[in-house]
Amino acid sequence: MMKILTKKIFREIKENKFKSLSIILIVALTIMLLAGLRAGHPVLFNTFELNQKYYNVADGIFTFSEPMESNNITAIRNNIDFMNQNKIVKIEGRIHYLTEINFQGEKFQAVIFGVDFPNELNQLVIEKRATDIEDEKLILQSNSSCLIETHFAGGLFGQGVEPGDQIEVRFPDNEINFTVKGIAQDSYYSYMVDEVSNMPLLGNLAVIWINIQIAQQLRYDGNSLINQALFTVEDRLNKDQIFPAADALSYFFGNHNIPANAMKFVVFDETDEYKMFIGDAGAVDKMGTIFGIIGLIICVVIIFNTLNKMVYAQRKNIGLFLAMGSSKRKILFHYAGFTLILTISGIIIGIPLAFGLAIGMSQMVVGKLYGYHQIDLSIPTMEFVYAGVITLITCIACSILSAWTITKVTPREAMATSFTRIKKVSKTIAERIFGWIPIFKPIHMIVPLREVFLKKKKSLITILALITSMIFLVNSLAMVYNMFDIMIANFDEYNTYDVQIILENPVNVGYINQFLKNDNIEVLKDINHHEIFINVYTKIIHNGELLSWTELVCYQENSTLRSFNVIEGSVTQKSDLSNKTILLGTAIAGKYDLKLNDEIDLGILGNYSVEIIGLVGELIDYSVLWTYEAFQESGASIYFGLLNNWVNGIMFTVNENANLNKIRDEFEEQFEIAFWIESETAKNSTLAFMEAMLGMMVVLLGIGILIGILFSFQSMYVAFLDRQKDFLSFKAMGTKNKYIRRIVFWENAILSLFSLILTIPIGYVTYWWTLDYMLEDKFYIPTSIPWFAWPLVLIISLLALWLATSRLLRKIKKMNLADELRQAGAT
Amino acid sequence: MKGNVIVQTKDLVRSFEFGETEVLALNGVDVEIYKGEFACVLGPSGAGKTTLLNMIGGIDYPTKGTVIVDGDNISEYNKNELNDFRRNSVGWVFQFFNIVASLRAWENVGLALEFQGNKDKNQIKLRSYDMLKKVGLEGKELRFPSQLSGGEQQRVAIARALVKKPKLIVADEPTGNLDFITGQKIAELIKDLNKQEGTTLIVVSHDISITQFADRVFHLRMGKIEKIESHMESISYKKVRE
Repeated sequence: MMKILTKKIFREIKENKFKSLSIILIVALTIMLLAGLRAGHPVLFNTFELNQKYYNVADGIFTFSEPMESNNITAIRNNIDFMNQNKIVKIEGRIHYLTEINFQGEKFQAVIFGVDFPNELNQLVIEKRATDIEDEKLILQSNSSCLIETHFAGGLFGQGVEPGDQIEVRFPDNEINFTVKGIAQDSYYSYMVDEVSNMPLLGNLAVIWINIQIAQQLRYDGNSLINQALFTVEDRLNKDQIFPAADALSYFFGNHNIPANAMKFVVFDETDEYKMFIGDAGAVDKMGTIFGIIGLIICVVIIFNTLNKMVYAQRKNIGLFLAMGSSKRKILFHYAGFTLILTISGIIIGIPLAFGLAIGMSQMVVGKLYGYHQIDLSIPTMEFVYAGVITLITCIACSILSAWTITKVTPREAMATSFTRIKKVSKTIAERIFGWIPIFKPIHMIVPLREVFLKKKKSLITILALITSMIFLVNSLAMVYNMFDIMIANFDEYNTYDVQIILENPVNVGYINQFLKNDNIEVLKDINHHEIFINVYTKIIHNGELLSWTELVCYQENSTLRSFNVIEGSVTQKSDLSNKTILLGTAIAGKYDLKLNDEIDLGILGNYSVEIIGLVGELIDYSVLWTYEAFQESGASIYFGLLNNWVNGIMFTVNENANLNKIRDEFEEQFEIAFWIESETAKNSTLAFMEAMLGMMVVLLGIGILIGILFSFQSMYVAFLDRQKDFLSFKAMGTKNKYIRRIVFWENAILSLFSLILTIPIGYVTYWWTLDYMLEDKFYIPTSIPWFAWPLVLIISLLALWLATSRLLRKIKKMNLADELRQAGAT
Repeated sequence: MKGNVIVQTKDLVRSFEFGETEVLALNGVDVEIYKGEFACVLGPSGAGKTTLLNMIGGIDYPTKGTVIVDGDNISEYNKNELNDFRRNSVGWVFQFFNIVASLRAWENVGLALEFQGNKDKNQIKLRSYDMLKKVGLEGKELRFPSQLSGGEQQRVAIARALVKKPKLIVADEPTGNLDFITGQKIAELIKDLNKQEGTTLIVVSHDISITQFADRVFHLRMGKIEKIESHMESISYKKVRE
């Protein structure tokens, strides 16, 4: 008998081509996403590590706002004992300068590196070089030569720079023209994050390398100075070696006239680039899990609906088998066998697709987006095994569950005309709840109410399917909106300055005020409001353990140019902070598991204890925030090498039409400026980033909407297929289409309504869970769902509803009554 | 009774294509059914009984020939007109009842009235209850189909067909899914209702026992009317066969 039943399975697959194919495809898709994305994730990380090591990307970078003699680096390098003792393998100095360039009449944010090419650390790969360069090592030999980074030059979003092109770079005193002699790739840069706006500017941030001597001439009047030191340790990427080495180096630099306030240190996994990398690449496997779960839910719904219909249609056969003495187990095995064949077929198709996705995505992301030259393509095969087993078990369990009911009925019941068993005689809950509504008064309108409420299992499956698609839509919408919203808020709400300046050397506040009140400088009159602030780097120590180095920023208590987005804690205004309490960026708090009311130690030259009384969320936020007044009162200045009332930051707003270039010239004359940040530039950078992201977001949202519509449509459509006989009866009775349309529409509408009601709480929980799971603490994105997500979901659901209703009506309309009645066994 | 024809088919042909083969289900059928008559179409499987009924009941179109019901040539109707015809002029009874599982007995009956445009729910309920009483289902009006036996379900289907007072009732193997005794009871019920309501009744069956209730029996074989017998002839024929 089993052999005959096995033949029957294949015949059924052939007869139900569309449904079988749907199951195979959705299983394949689930495997592809679940295994492909999850397997792609280690590829990204392995590749990152491979490139870090292969091209000697620094384990840690010191940036000095005040330059130091380059022979200090030589001294360290020559001090073998120091190097060995601190496990430092390589150390190198260079010049780092943030400015802007002009390329073909357009201005771009730029980072200029003065390097002794070929540099040992953050080694460059020359992808293209000018025809007149024979020896690659001599590419930067000429004073006017430069190398330009590949993302800006070409790639996906680049500006089309070619060797031989001219680029004008702005330096404090003048603009200098350089000739592009080559296109270079630096493994440090994968997202091209702008240090000013902290936004990735793929294709819009120009990273340029020039000869170190030229850079020294242009920046430091030809003095042999550098302002960045890069190093690697023996055990690459090991923070247990990096932090002690950084400590030793910071003391060395401190002893060589570099004040603590001028020293910034960033470890490899807290660079802006890495934060972006971890945010994206780290989310890949989680996206795999999320998409995989969604895929599995879709599998469950499709299999359940398909088998339900099949079981219903074959109930007489099943009754016959039972009457012939077949065991229930055999019948269950039969349907499990049907699913098994389809699921295995799906897995067989899905695995190469998953491999393709893992390899294709890795090559696309790593090769095209990051621009890496070394790719580690060792795909973890166990992911495929896990995905296959999980999918197989889920699908088989679902098929057994859907066929379970039929094995519980007697042969006589199974062979009876109506398989629907309704025991109730009194009014159903549905009739009691909705029965009073005029639309549900007619007899035919009782059908949708009873169908939904009496066939609970089926309705639950459809509602589950609808909830899944609605949640997917709500979550993608909320994620896109919140990300953009927080970015815009960063510039319109939290940061309202026009210009922010970081000085190389701290100065007395009085000196700044005196300068700004100087009536003899006409252009300064355009500054209508100014504030001072402190921006230094600090170590963060918790329970005696050095966690990291990060930025400490102290704004004035009454600052109107900078406000904080406090997301946790009871701080409502900056004056709530005292000399013992600070605010901490949620990203760094999350990374190091720091909570409200935790005590941490700050400082470089010593430790000063403070309590965290609030967490701030502003997308990528790693800062410690304090007020200038509280900082002064605390007396912690000494731990940062600062004098009382000395600051290194100025920000201001200007009148309309103010000439910022002239104002900058005046400032540059008076102060040594490390960074000059114009909010307009930062805003433009953000806008450029948002534009670059928009396409991706539109795709994400598009997928959300498409899945929402298609899955809702499919669920509603399939839920009606086993009711074909009812509609045939209606047609045979000469029923007008409007009655059928009403039944179909309202049944789907009730299901959609319940789904929407349930989606609201579940949506909030899943959105919170998804963000928490995907982003962990890498970015801050609000967990609230924008109000308009709900009407939009309603509209999308209505669209799916309309689609499903129209499709079903068309099917019913097109029915050849005589044929269909004969096939349905009505006659 | 002659001269009061309600259904007339002329040279009715219906062919079906199965791949390259053309099968003639009906091959020039001419029948006349009189108003108020209980006509039975008898024949073996594949004789074309259901096909003929589908033509008369407005479910299918003939390949050739005409079907005239109450003076109207329904074979020229478009789909919507045919739909209206089924709604207002015909009551269908199927072998497998085809009643809606999620509706109670009276609601299944009332549905036919509602689809005709009747909006008075009280009147629908009264008429449905009344019709269910006539088919012997008094007290079972609130039951769902799964709470009724096969014979009772078929009674609901008959009540549904009758309640809208159609010009004719067409029944396709109404006893085919029932045991012999229940089948006989249903056949008797149909005959009684035919007499009481005066509705024309066309029943298709391969069950010879149903012929004892019919006024005339049309023997269909290989898509053609082989012979037409009156009620008495049918009974004697049956007796001869027995």
